[in-house]
Amino acid sequence: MIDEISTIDTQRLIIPALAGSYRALGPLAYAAIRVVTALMLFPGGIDKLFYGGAARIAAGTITAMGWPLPYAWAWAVTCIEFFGAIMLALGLFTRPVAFAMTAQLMVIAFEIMIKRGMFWTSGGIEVALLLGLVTFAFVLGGGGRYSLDHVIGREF
Amino acid sequence: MAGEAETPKFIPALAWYRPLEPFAYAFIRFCTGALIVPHGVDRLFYSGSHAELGGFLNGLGPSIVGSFELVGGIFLALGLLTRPIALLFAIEWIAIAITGAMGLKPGTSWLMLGATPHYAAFVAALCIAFILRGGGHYSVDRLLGKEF
Repeated sequence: MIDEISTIDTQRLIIPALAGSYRALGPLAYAAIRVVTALMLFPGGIDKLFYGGAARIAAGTITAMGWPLPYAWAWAVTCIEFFGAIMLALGLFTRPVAFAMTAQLMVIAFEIMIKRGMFWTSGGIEVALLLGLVTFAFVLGGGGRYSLDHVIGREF
Repeated sequence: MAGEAETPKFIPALAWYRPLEPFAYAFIRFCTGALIVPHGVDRLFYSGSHAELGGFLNGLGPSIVGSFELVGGIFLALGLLTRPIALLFAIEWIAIAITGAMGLKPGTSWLMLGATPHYAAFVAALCIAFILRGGGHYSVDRLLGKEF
């Protein structure tokens, strides 16, 4: 990921004194976004796995969408949001995990949330859409420098 | 310029995203900015809701906040003045998240997706990351050769 490894050029900065903190923290930004995105999805996974959320969405939203095998989809969503979020936070198999999340969040955005309007104040499409677009960025960019993928030395 | 070799792939033939890899960070910045713009348009031209802004931001006036969201969202998407714009957006969305968290209906958790300050907290976190990294390699800041 070019924005992790490219250096901060002091010549360009209007306030050159800030270069030190940018050099220290700037490369972490991409990994920080990856961890935050995982943390955003993780509570949903805990709810679905331990508090009966999987059965609730199977009987509720997934049945309402009219998809076959609602319980299979509910458990797929549960695994993506629980185990997938842990893997995304660690940067393990980042691209396939992020791809599964993108698919899931786009379905949530365009099948469920779009009916509630545009904005988050009414639970509208932008909530799942922004999360889905950010996970798609990880399909493109991969785990980056601070990830288990990088430690392993091979990635998808 | 990039000094580091690309990580080898498990299945090189499937790596269709290879040419797009450098754009990941810019893509996140663009999408965040682009999704803030509709808030500004809604507040400015469609007298959209501003209850979620809370006392601090409503004191500035919803049209001022709306103008900033419209112009600042475009700037952030393009990567122009990225760090100052991201700083102001971080303050705005933290204020929105706090207002939303205080006005939450009993029995709902802000941690869940939906009509909760979850989204505001996410946007604020993204903006803090943009303050750290700035516009990055693909931004107007880089073209201008000067940045904060």
